[in-house]
Amino acid sequence: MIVLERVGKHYRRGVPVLRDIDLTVPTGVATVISGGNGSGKSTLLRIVAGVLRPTSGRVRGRPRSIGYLPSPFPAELRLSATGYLRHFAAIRGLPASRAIGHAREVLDRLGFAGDPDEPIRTLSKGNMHKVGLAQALLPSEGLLVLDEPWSGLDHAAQLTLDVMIGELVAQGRGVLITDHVGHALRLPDRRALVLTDGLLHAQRDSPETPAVTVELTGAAEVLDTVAGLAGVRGSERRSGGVRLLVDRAVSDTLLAEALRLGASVRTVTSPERVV
Amino acid sequence: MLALLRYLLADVLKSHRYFPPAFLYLLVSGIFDARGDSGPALNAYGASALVLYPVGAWLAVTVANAEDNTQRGITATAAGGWRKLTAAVAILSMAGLTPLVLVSTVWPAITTAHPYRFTELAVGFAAQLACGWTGVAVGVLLGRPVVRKIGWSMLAIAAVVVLTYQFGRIPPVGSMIGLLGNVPPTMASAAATVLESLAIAVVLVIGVVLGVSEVAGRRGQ
Repeated sequence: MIVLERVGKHYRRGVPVLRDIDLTVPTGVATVISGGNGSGKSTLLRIVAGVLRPTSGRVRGRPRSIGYLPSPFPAELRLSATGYLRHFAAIRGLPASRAIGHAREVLDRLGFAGDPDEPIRTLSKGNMHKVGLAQALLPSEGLLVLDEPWSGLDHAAQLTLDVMIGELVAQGRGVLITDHVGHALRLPDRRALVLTDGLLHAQRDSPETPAVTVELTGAAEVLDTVAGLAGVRGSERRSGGVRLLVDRAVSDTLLAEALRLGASVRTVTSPERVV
Repeated sequence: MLALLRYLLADVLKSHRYFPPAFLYLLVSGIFDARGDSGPALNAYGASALVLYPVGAWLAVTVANAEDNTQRGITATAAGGWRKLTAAVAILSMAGLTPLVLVSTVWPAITTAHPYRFTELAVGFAAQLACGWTGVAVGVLLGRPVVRKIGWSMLAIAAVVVLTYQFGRIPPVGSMIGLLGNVPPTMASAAATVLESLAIAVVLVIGVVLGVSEVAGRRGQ
């Protein structure tokens, strides 16, 4: 089990990207890190994967085998998908036939459409990403470090990937994932963390309290009041209105209060849920 | 390590970037060789040793820069760290030079009237190898991740090479060129100097691999 102790990272002349990060990546659960663009999610994953050394703090118990998917997956690879996966299975010391069979299965399930014997750089962006996933998911025992694994995948492949991650977690693998679009909310066994200003916090929401998105219009001070009510997890000001992420349990009460205050409701949407 | 070397070799071969340094080397050593037989056996190797130093550096930069920067991170993770990847880059470059050195060692023995003894061939081979491997140390130092753009790498290599030649007969490169360009006192003393230079070249490569791996970890590429 990998443990990060008071890990910090800053680049030359730059503000710290990470400050005092304490993180344990347990097995049998998906650890999901969210945060805005440039919040340091990828930097944190690169430290866990062993690509980047922290400026301060230390990393203990890094397993020998790590399946790592960076974001974005490199676009200029000369080898074919078959050659690339064969070489990486060998580099990671995995038995060739089983590893290649497993990689083919992963590509099939994700709906890989392309010539596996042509150079990877001739594939579409989505298919390149699927090769990257197949590389990271090569059959070994160690930790999985996946940076934005859903990005660039078509909808069907995203749903399949949810299932695959669920299987890996059920097998007792440790999985560390970044997610800036909220896709990981669908994962059943997950631990959600948020990275802001270089610090890691536990995320308050959980799958047991699903959310609805509410769009309101009205006077600015009214919208500010509504955005401050209990049950509001997030808010985004938009032209002439506000978009709120609201706990479903209190959404009716909140809407009634918003209407009473004089706001008008534009849309209410419930995110698609996967069973 | 063998699997890693095989992968890097497959990638470098597909890039075709190894071609310019290899071609330059064969061209230049061919031109110098065309001057014909002149003096002692070892003198025929002076020119190729002179050229092998920058060619070794160029070849190492080619290998170090072949992979995409993000891909380098994936490869380092899969291989088990930056040290392994950097060492593989150096070993592949050193191994890639060996056939070139073999060609330029055997060629004068076949084409000239001068009779070559085995010891002369062996000393000539090792002396050229010492120059080429020192070049590899320079190339690994001045390629990715330390110098990220190949243009700057080439400029830095040119500067280091010119500077090395200015210093005269210091090991490992200057002493080899001096040895090959003159009549050596005895083959035994020549062999000792060559082995010393070869050992220094290997130590330089090891030192550079350790240092460059540190930089790679700090920069994450």
